[in-house]
Amino acid sequence: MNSKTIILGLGNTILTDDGAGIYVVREIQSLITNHQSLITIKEASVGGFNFIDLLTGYDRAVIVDAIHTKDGKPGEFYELDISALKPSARLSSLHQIDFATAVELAKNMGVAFPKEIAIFVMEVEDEFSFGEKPTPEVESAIPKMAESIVANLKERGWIDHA
Amino acid sequence: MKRISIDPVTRLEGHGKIEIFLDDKGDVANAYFQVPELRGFEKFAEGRPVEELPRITSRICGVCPEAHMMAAAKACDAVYGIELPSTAKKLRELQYSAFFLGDHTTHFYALGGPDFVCGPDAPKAERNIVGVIKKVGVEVGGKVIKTRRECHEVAQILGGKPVTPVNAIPGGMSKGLNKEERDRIEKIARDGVEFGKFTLKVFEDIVLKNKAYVDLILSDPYTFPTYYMGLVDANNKVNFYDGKVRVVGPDGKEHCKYQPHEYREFVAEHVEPWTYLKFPYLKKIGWKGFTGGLESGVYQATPLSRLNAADGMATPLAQAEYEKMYKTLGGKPVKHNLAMHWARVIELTYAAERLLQLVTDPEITGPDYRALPTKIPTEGVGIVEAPRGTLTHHYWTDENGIVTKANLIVGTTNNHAPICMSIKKAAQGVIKAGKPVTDALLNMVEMSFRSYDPCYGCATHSLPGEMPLEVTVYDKDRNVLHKLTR
Repeated sequence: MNSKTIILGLGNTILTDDGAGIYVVREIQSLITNHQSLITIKEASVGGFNFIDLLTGYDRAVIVDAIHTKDGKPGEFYELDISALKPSARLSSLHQIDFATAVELAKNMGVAFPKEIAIFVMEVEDEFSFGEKPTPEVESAIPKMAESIVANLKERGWIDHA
Repeated sequence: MKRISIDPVTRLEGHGKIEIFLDDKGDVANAYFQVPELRGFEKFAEGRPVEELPRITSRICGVCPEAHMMAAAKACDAVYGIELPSTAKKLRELQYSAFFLGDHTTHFYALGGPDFVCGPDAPKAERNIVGVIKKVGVEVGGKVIKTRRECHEVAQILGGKPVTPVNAIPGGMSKGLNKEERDRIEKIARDGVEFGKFTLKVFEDIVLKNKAYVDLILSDPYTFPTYYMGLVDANNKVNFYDGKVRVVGPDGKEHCKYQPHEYREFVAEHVEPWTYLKFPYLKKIGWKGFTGGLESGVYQATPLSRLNAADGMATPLAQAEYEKMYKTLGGKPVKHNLAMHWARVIELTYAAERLLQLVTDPEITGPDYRALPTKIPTEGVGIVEAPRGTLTHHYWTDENGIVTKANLIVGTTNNHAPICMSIKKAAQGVIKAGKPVTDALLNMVEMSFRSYDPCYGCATHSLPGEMPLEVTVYDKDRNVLHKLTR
């Protein structure tokens, strides 16, 4: 396995549940073995254009983030179908380009961008209040989500079965 | 694990909303704008050592971390009564200039620019940076990405990390600059100035040479007189990092000029029941409702406001373009909101030129990049210009430097009332009785909003995209007539 993979936790750990993605990748870090040198684990609190800088040079990207949907149950986690991001590819406001536009831009620019991208998200309850601790449902789901992502990535062959 | 699809706009919580209400005839009666707001910062800050706030506030928002860090560091300087060594000040402004260059680049090419480059009525899917590179050429994308990357590199050199910096500390900076680093930043600055020239040319070719666009800029729906705010240096030239806050009226006359610690004598905040966001206004004139003009305390703090509030730019290329803008648009102050994009391009060029000025200043590699705090801490205010408006941080501490109270007026909040009013005015101008409401018309309403480059960036984390926006038009009985979502 020679593919370079990045596992990127997104969010803000001073906004209560917004840091869920970051907490999950910290757990993943402790779950995967050290000899997997082709895997990089990073945290970031940014979006838009910065995705291009963060993901350039990797063959595969795993993104872990928080999400808040109308019918979502806090602590629930799932993989997001990347084609579902298409509707927001049109977004051209609120200061940043969105993920889908960043991917499309990178492709158009011939940037060495990951060919395979998986996005895992956790439903959260409160991502608007300042606070350094997630809400209980989110907190208890963090280790479960980390294990589940690791199992999923092993199944795909993105990380070794060591 | 489950794999699901979502539609960001209809399913995600926390999107922005523009709501337009029509009257009996079908003309616009009213328009409202709402966004989710972060809660509880003051409480979060209380009880922490004040020197932690530059590090913490830089994490409030993923879009403008440098602005919060610099305002917080300046407030800390004031809390401890520290006068910064000249090298420290210049290093901060150096880093800040690189940040402005990168940030304005993003807005012009990715956000505001597509309306002009691709056209305001271009299909939504094409009106983005990908559409821009298809029209202007793929090399423009390369220049944009390179400029942004190099601006991050300046932050990396100065602060050890490319984003969410933590290197501005009470009394100065955490490290100085060596000669090798200086040389690298000089190269970046020279490339930045070239990029500024290139961007001015793009603006000239695509916007100014197109009469329809110039007419659009000058048209009534986007013309909006208020007071204008911006930081100025000792010569009344635009400065992003330091100086006094100057406010001029729609008549171009100076209304006031104040030091950061005096801000509460000049600015107050109005509250409305339908939103948690406050509406700052000029205290000496008063809140007269959502109305502009000389008699109303509503002001704007934007790139265009900064240019209106100043007497000029402190660098040559930016100054020449400044003069050209006022000559083209009929003198000062310019009240046409879409001219904001021109102002932003002028500021982008200034940021690059200022970066070069500072990095070639002999003091920049000096050893005095920090003064140690020695006085007993009390209270302090720090003000910088964030890319989208004047940013004020105000902290109170006990004698041990523990925060007892904090107050922030963030860039976009200054513009909250003008944004609401501009949306209404643009809506009234483009939506007319008997004429069908289309996506293109609603985009033209949104353009008035977009020109402010509103950053509710702090509210845009929780999805692998950014905050969606929904524009809804209601008839007189509050039935939904048309909805545009992104």
